[in-house]
Amino acid sequence: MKLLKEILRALTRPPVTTQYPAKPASLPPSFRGPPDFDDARCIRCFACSSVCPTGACYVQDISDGERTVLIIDYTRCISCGRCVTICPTDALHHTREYSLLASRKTLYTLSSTEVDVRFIRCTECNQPITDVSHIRFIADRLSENLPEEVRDRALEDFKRFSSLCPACRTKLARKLGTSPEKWC
Amino acid sequence: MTRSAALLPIGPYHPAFIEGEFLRLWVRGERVVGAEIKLGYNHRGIMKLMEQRTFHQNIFLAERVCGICNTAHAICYCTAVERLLGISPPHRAQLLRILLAELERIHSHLLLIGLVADLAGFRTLFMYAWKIREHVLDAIERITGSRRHSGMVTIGGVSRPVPGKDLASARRSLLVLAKELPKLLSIMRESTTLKRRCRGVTEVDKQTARKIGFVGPNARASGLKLDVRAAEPYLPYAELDWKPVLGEFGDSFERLIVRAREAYQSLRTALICIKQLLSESGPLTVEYQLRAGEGIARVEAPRGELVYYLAAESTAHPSFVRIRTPTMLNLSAIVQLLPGLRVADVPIAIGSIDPCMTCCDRVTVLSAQSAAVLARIPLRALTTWKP
Repeated sequence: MKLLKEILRALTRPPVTTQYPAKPASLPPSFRGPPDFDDARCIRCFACSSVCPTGACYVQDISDGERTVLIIDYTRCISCGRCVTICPTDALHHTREYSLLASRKTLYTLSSTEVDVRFIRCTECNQPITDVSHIRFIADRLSENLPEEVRDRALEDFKRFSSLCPACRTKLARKLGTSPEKWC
Repeated sequence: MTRSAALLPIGPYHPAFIEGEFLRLWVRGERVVGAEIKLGYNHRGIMKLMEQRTFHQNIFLAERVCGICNTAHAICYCTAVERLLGISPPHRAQLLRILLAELERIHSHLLLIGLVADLAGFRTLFMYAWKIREHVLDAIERITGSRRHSGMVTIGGVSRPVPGKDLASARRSLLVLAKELPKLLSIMRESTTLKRRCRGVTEVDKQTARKIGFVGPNARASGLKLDVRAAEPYLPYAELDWKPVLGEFGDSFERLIVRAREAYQSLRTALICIKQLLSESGPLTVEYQLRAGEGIARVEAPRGELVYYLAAESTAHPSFVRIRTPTMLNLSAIVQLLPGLRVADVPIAIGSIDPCMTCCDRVTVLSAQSAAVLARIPLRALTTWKP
């Protein structure tokens, strides 16, 4: 009997279906669309590409290490939001895009994420290390968080080490006797 | 089986199956005299894949083991990692996890009620159950930002806070559902169609349910008090005035009724949870340091007991992962109950245990010549295994 009531109500009331393509879909406030990227805020640390669970967000070197491109492949992106959470400068954010229709597969790749990396090169071996703004970001953070009495010395050390590539850094640390192996 | 019985093979790919499984029925006339189910057609190698990804990337992979009970998988995986690391999430994160898990249970149970109603030919109930399921999906969407695959549960807590405004609007859709659920239960109880199709099909008493290894709502429908939330509280359910729902008859119909009642109870728990969350503040995650060790977690997924085991050797990724989904137990139990049924009752019987075949696929190494089982080996050894 209860079901009969339900059937009659369905006859008199309009169905639950919405006029989707004509009217835009209503999205919840915390909707996670495919991530977009703000070039001005990015410090080129590429933490997003190293945490991405599906490999949708990755870094590619073009023209022999002179230019690096950060690519977000929407065909692989699962909108988990991990890159947005991990980004230290909030350069990534979720868009409110829900209809990812495209006529060509290449359109699914976010092309605006071509980031120019101004590489610092190792003073010893001329290998590219990382971007200037990344080093600056770390230095800013260090000076913010370190106590007054060690700050200047630590920043001086940081300057010395940050101008070296990881291999040369290890060599220098061994020479100075500060490598982690010493405490192992 | 016996010489006079005819073999009725169904599957592995069949229009009536949503997932690939091979069901072999030996029938004599309308009666089933023997049954066998074979899995392995949808193996995805998730456990092996987990060993190659970092702990954090694995959360999203664990979520994708199952499309329906993904929060349960994420909670179970994260609980196992947390036990490995020796940390425990903050109280507010635990409450949020309960909220997500219980909302998921409502959605999963309503989905199954709809499916079995469809199998029984009662399409109106199917439509109705799936219509009211939209309310709970709306609530989940409000809280997490998406209908399924929330990506919220993380190691050491919950990754995003939920604004009070979203919780309040989720509460409104749940209150609509609170009016609809008792209606659903009474429709199910009054419906002669559903009763005639499901009453008495694979009736299991308490002792048999324990013996054949039912878990989750299937065991509770037989009156067996088997609930991880009560036996090994991995989340603070005790604070929320929660008790396991028990049935008595243990047939296919009772399994549906227990699920509908459980959905109602989960709704109650979710509402209490929202009320507590609105008044509570505090951190959502704890700091942690990776270390070597092993962790095991049991979680009550909508379908029953879900187990994750993982071991780590102080690297960024687990060295060994094992998942046991509830369907593994439920399916092997229901196959033992199929002989004696009519062929037409088999879909109802299998449907009533809420099977999720793909979640429980495992690797077995077969000989190419004779199709004999050569070995059932742990996945870890597959890379170095030689016949």
